[in-house]
Amino acid sequence: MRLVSALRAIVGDDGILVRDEELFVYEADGLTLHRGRPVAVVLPRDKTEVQRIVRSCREHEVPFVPRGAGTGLSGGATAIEGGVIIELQRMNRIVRVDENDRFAIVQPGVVNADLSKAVAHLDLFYAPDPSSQQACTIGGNVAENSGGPHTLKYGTTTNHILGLELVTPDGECLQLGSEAGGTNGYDLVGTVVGSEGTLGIVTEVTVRLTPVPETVATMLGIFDGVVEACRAVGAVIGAGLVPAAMEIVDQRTINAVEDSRYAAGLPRDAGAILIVEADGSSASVARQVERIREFAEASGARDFQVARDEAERVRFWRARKGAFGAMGRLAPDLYVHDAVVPRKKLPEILAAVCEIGDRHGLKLSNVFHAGDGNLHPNISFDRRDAEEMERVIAAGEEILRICVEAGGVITGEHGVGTEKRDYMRLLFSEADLDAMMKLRLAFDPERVCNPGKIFPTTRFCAESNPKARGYDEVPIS
Amino acid sequence: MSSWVAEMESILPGGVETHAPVALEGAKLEATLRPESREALAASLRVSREHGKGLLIVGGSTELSFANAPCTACVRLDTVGIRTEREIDLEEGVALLPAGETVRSVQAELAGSSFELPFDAAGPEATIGGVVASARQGFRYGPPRDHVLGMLVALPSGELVRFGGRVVKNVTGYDLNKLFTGSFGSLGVIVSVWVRLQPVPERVAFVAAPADGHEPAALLQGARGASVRAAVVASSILHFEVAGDEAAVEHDVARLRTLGGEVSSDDAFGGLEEARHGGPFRVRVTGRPTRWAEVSQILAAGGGVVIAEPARGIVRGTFALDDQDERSIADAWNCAREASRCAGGPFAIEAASVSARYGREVYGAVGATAPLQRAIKSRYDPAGILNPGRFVGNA
Repeated sequence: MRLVSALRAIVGDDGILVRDEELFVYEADGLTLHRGRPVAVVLPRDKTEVQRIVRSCREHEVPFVPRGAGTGLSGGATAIEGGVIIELQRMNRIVRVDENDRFAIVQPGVVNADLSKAVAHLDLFYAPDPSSQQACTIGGNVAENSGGPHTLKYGTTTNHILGLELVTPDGECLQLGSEAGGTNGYDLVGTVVGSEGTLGIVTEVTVRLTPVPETVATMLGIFDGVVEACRAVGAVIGAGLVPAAMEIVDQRTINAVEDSRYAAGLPRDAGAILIVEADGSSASVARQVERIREFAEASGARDFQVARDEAERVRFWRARKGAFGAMGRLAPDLYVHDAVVPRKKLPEILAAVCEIGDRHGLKLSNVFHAGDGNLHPNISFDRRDAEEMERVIAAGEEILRICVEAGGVITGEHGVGTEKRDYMRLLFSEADLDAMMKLRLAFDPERVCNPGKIFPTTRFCAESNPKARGYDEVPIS
Repeated sequence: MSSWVAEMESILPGGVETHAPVALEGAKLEATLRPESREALAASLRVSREHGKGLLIVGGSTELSFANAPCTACVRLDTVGIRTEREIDLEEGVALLPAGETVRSVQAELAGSSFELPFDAAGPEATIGGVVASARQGFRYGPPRDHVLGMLVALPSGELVRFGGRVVKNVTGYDLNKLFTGSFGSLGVIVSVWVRLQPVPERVAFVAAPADGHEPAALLQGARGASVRAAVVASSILHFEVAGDEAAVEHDVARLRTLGGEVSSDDAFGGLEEARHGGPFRVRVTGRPTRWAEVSQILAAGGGVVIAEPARGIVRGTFALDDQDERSIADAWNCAREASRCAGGPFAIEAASVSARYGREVYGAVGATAPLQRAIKSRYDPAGILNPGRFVGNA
């Protein structure tokens, strides 16, 4: 195993994992449906080691996969075609914070929430807040262009990245963008953000920091049904208000949460709850709250509360943020779907999603970013049950199809990865996919960097360069 | 030329005009194409590629001089007449707009609705496609990249390809919207664009404050107010546009009064946009916001009339120089470089005569990314027919 020896020489004995029991952990990311065992996992400490690892992999004709915390939900950080996983969690330093120009330079392994904690004393924060923010890393967020509940006002990761240091698939190190955010030529920063680790390995990130708002108000609307809650969302946004977040939790999720340790005292008979957060100056927030209350009540809210203190704010959010944890009580596995539809289509799509789940006999519930039209149907299941697995996959495909037919897309924040690569044709023609592939080939002509992601396998596998195939290839389980 | 003309006439009946050479942007243009449909556009690109005809892509002509020179195209391609699908969805706050439509006409159509088009146009002729292709950023709405949701593009291969979509959140595949926004027509011709509209603010207030007598940091602080939509320093006056709900606007206006600001009924920004768009030699430096005053001083000391946007770290200098005087051109160029170093960010020459741009890179230093940028260009436009010589790395 010459490659392993070469990698060991770069990162040392404590920087490489090769034993079966170690590699088992890296067989999947947050999407446990798709698995692939790497030949090795390396844990570099700096960009020079990353460059040497990449060059060594190229020399040995082995693909490589960058990985952060492995919290992704689309299989993007899985070595689906074998090869080496480059695990970046040891590169976790906040290199520099500039409070006056409001940016920070961080290594990719910095945990999302840790960055906001580190700059909180400066009255600044890092705005993208994926639900996994206590564990996921900035590098992973860049790869997936992660969103979160507060995307509605603050945008996704791409709106907060000023510059990137990128080790290209041939081992060169490039500086893209700048501390000022300006760029010359093609927008390479915007192009790399969201590319799912297929265009290179990000070794440093310059992020924009955002001032902490003067005041935050968190509201909870109780509705008899999802339709009424969606109507309230449409009314608020149609009036030109831009709350920081608008999240809906359906009745099935409410009950799962109330049965769990995350119980928030929510009425079990509610058809849906709507959590709204508004921020800004005190006077502005007070006015926003009153207008949102009016819209909610006019849309049929049977109760509307405003959090009186931080404890109550946390309680309101518990129903949303504790939802995934609560699902753990229902079944050993959870498939968190992700799709987007035009906001006005939410009621009909949600009804159809529930019908699909019921028809397939699945435990399906919904929490979603209502302001963005970003659905997250959650299917609780047991992957040891092959027959149930088939129903989970079939239902998932049906959900994606109805979302696309409604003018939507197949992923709003989780990425395509391996999970949805074969659904790309629901949205894109061959010419569209070819146009994407041109970009891929400009960065990585031999497709050795995170192969097997984004593009449909049914076509591109047959065409792929032999060098891009892992010698320890593991089929999709 | 003759076989190309014959083939083109079969694609664009009445849409091909051959003429005596016309000089534009350093190119000698012998023909003009005016496709009226997206299919005709795509076919004309394919045929031009097959015949090796370089195309100068032209929308409203408002940003034509923002490019390297000389252009080596021999054919002008006008995009303003291309008909394609169009939709304005005020319930969702999104719009699908033809590239050839003017920004002004869309803004006029939206007037009175609860949404506005978040593009700052350089003039009445500026088109949707031109604003997106040039990433033209004005004072109010920030960069177009933040508002583009999807697009339809014609490639030199003759294919029409779609990226993104109509929804406001989307990570399905590569974000080619970002690649094509600001690519100056070097990779493909934009046919239509999905745009996220912006809610019309409940109230807009204009405030003017004297810039002299305040520390630059204090002015920057004022420009960073949560509801300050535009903040521009020009001729020692700091102009603010404050937009949002009543309470938010009142809050920020009160803060700006501490800088000596007075509420004005005049929208000064229209005039500032015109002044900003002036020539004959205009430099844009994008840098760290805290450096705005130093950068302004450097450009002013070099003879530039300066317009600065402190919160965005953008400073522009317009130089009234003789474009035949090589020495003064070189001095202005060096001044831009020095300002860029001070700013900690890039510079670009937004406007200059062809002779002033000749042999120089108007996009400043692209550094080590040049090979990658060339690789991208060659993947999308292997024959190099789109705006040849005009984008990065071609000077």
